[in-house]
Amino acid sequence: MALLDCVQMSKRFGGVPALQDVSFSLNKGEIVGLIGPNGAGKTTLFNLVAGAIKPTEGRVFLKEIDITGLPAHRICRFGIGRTFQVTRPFAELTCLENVGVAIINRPRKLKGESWREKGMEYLEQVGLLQEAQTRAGDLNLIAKKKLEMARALASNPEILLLDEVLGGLNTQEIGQAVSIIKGLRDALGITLLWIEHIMGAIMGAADRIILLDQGRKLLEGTPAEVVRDERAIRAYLGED
Amino acid sequence: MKDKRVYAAIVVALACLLPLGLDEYKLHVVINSLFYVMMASSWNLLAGYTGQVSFAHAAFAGIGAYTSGILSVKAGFNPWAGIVIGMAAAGFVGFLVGVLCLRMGGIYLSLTTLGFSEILRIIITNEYEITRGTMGLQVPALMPVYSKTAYFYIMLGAAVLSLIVIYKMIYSDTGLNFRAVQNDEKAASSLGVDVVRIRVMAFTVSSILAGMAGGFYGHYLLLITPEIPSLDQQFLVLSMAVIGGLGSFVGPILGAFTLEILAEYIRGYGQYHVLVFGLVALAMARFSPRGVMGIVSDYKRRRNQSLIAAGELRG
Ligand SMILES: Nc1ncnc2c1ncn2[C@@H]1O[C@H](COP(=O)(O)OP(=O)(O)OP(=O)(O)O)[C@@H](O)[C@H]1O
Ligand SMILES: [Mg+2]
Repeated sequence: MALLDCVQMSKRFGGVPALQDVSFSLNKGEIVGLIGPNGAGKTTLFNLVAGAIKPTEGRVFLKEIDITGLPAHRICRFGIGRTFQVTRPFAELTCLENVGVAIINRPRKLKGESWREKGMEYLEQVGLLQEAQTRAGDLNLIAKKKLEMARALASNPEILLLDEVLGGLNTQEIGQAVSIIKGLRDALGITLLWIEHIMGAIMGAADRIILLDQGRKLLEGTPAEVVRDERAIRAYLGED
Repeated sequence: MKDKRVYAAIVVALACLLPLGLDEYKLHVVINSLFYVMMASSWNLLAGYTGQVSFAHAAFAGIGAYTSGILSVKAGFNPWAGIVIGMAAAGFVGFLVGVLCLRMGGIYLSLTTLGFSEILRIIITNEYEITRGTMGLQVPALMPVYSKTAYFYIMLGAAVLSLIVIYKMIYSDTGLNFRAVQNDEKAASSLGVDVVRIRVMAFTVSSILAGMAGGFYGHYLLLITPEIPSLDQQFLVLSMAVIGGLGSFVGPILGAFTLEILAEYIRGYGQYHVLVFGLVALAMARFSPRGVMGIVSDYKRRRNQSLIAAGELRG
């Protein structure tokens, strides 16, 4: 039994299809890369799984329980966390408070520890300890992306959906970020579905790759299989 | 946290001495101010902490006042029991308006609540048989022998109670959820915040508190008129909170006292005070959205930063 099953998911925006008939599964402890050209429907797929929008057709099962169309906060509490491609910090709150929001809304309450103490652990994990008391709106883009990660982690997810968290980083920073992300799986056992345009990073880290093109799943396989595939090269990888 | 409580206790203790030094008229102004403290602070809970800029807050005070007034006049209820039922009524209607406004933000929510407020005022004005319309409904006092001093202590007690509820709320987990919802509903729900629950809760609680303020105020004035749920009143409350500082606990309290006392001076020159305050509030919203308290905290932060910088320079 897979941890997450998406069955024939479709989404149309005012009649225009953004996603058509996409099915896939995530197994516990996997890192799965979701790639594809701009507008392929990757973020839309995230929004459907996380409950931010409702699918036109198709179903989502978490441990065989149907969670299709549930509100986002319930899906979060069931154990699916997500980051936003365009960062959405609580601008007027401090970084620590941003993380705190995720902690206080967990279904299982903290025992003998305040969200402030616990929150510092997550800020440390992504390297934002110094900025704990900084207004999130004052952060630069890279720090905002780190905060997205810290916040999503603080909701204590079993599955984490990462939407282009490496954008804007230099080569050295990418290396650091990738090792943090791998650590989430290796040390914490979090299952990752990860959208990324930086092929060097995602191909090295993922166990499996799903390629979306124009709203459809074009192919799925190991990174080695995907980089050699004619269709992948024509649709996406050939670009750069 | 500890010394804040000590400060608060000192302020309340000093306030208790006020009737010793004030004549009847000045005591009346202070009682009015306490009503506005309750109104501005509970409106701030909704508008300043969840970002739902409702124009129906005075209407909820009206629901509290008229429910209690009508029950005590027409059904012989004890006014104290009337006030409690008035709070429940305001809370219930606040809950419904909160649900109605769930999918709305910004200007749409403001316009809807403004419409609700006007509808309520028209009903009250026209249901002459029950409400005595613009003539006003005469209601019984809260005590057998009328005493301004006693009213002062009652209003002070109500205001302190109201402020304790608000303080506990904004410094609890719920308060953090309020601010998260105000900043970004989508991000909040992705982190497990039940946005619907939070928004409706803020509407309900702030309406209960407005209903309480209106209930006590009505039984103090002894005459309830459509003035209580009027838009004039709403804009005055809004000005107090905005000028004092939205999203701060102390701001609306200071705003309420300052503007009510100023209003007493300006009143001599005609009913222009609401207009003047409204303009100041507009300017404030444009140039310092967090009001006077925002200016104070920015100043403190800058001074701290320059102190740190100076310290670093010295080594
Ligand atoms: N809320 C929306 N309303 C209308 N159209 C939308 C909406 N969200 C996405 N779309 C459309 O759906 C398609 C897929 O968009 P999506 O954001 O999922 O692509 P993506 O694969 O994440 O692209 P990118 O790599 O640029 O982030 C696009 O054509 C986009 O314009
Ligand atoms: Mg995208």
